[in-house]
Amino acid sequence: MRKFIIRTSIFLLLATALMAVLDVCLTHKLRHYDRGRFLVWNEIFDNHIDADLLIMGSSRAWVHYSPEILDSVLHTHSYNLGVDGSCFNRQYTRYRIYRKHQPKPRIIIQNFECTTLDYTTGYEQYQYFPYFSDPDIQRWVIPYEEFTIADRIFPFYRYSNFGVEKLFANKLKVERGYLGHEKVWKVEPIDKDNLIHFTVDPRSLSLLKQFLSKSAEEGVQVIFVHSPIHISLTECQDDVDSMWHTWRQIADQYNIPILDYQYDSLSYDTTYFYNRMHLNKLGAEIFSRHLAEDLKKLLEE
Amino acid sequence: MLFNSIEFAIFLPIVFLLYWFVFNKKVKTQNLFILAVSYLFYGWWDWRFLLLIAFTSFCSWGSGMLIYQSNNPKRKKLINAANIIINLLILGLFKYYDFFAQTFADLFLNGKSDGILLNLILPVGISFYTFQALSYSIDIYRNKIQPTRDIVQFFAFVSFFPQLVAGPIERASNLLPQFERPRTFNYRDAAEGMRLILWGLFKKIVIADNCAEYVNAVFAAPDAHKGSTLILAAIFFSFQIYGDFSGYSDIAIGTAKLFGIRLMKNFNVPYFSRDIAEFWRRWHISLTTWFRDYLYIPLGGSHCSKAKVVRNTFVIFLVSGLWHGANWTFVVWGAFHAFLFLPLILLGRNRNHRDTVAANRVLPSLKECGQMLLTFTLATIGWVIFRAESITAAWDYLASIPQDRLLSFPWLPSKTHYLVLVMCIVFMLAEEWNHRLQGTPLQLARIKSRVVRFTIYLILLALIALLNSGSGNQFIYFQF
Repeated sequence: MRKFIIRTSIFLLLATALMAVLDVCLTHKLRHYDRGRFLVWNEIFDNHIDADLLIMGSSRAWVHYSPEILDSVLHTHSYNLGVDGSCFNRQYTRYRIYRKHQPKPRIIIQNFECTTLDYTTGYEQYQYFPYFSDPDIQRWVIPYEEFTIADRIFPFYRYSNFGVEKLFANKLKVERGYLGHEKVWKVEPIDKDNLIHFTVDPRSLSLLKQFLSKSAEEGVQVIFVHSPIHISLTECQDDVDSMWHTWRQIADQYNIPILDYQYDSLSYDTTYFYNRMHLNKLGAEIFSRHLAEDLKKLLEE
Repeated sequence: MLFNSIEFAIFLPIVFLLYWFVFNKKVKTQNLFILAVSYLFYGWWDWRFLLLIAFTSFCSWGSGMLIYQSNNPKRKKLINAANIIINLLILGLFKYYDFFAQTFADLFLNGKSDGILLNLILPVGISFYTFQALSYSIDIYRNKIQPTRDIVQFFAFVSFFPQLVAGPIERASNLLPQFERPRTFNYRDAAEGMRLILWGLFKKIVIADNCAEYVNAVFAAPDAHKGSTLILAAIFFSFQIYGDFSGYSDIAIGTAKLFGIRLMKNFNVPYFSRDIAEFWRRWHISLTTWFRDYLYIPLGGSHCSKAKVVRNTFVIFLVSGLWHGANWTFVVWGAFHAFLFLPLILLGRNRNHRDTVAANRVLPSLKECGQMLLTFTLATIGWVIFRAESITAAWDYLASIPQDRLLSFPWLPSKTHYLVLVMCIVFMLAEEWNHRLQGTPLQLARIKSRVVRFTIYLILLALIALLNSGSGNQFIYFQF
């Protein structure tokens, strides 16, 4: 028995060492991977951004705001921090980590919609894998993103359990955090039993207020923007008035301007959307130009 | 709790240490401990169904005692029959009731099954432990074994966690005596067990789960794929089901060895079979021999007229098909294999290949290669029926193969990934070919250097870690 336990222990030690080596190698590769979800994080961690205009929000921010077009009109250096599948809690986490590595911006556009003040965790957690050793990720991400104990303590386990091949499956190339989707309109029929409800989670609301107070302290101007939705989304949304009431109240409290493009001229034409919530590249570029002009006027006032 | 889960990786060493260092004084205490951890292992999935295992175990244990104590042959027969009926009724209720009710509704009620379906959850491994428990009382009835008075020992025999949910379906004559005598730790067995666990994980995680990714994508929309892709998916499914099930069996046998228990072999290089009869002597051996001993031989076996042998063969395969699941595809799969058996029976060739292929040679002859390839092809056609959602879907799949770009390069989402997978399949086959006579791969005793042996184990481990598909796939046979 003694011999068995000693040999098994040696094997397990060697196996752990091997997994640690694999972990280091794969982490290194992903920290230099310039595709998919890792590109923005790598740019944030590697101090490449230094933007004076930041865009925050969910997937709608991610695919709606072209930094290149905004910069061409506003003569800024902008960057899109939009996080796919996120509510404000995750958007703010990305911003906090951004600020640990980058100087403060001058302006922040906070895109919002019905679900922004809800609370989400556990979506595409693999994007955090290469940064597990970072203290901010350990403090602000790992405790909240549904990682298992095994993910945290066993080297390489998180990669293996997710599937190494899948880490490289997303080959989308984003430009300064923005992705222009060249997709065409394709939607499922409206499901009246599954309406999108406006929800306010106290945790997200508290984080939003914390963010706004901090921004005011630092002299960062925040602007709330509701980017266009397709008109048919109104049939799928509930409590839209409550949403506007809440966001206007917050805006008044913190003296923040709101730009409303909810029912923009784009909203009535499916040519500009690939689904009810998301503009395609064509729509996003028209919207970005439109927004840039309005921002220019607003900032000049 | 899945063998390929982190929970099991924590559970196993704790149980191992407690078993050998805390509960090692008395065999009764060890059995009680095995029973407790086996119920914990099963209850991890759904504790409510522990009552079902306990009830099944109690029925077989009680009927075994009553059969043994009775001097009246009619009474013995009655008790044995009652136990079989109770067990099969439970199995039928959970596994087949909805299937037959739906078939009835389709035939006579225009498919309206409202109110007649029970929609019961299928308890994991019910077919396995029911058959294992049944064999005990039947063997007592046949005077092959004596019953055990120790209820804990019997309950531990039925629920022994390594083989509880997907076999091998053990016989009381092999496993029960091992629970009667004190177990002593044996280094060779334990080391062999560890190797088998590693090999089983390789087959499950690297081969089966990666094949599954491709197979699932193709079987979900066969119309969207060309002939060559459909062939590749069918071949991958052959390796998926083999890697999945034989991998599970290897882990089960290896885990049992760590506790000083020897389980029967369940697979013996089936894809190196030269005909279908040999294939069935090497595939899911514990089930095949169960049906042979408790159904085929009582029906007359092969010691009767040719017509009856053919009838018995069809009965065995149809029942075996239905055992796998409540779907007509399994019945047709069974019938397909019965038809493949037919010429062998009629020509008296079903016992031709009782040895191992190329037993005294390194490589097979050209003829043997052809025979193995043909057998593998036939088995693969059978697996398409097995895997398909319905008989129509299976037919459409097979019929589509020759219709569209059969000779073109198959669809591969990632060429490098699938090249590595094919290399792993080739490695698995080469390793199993190399040890086809011993039947246990990864026998590295002839490599004297411990460093080299450890390096090989670590390479396998690295492959498991790197090629894990991340889908966390269940074992296919859990559903049976």
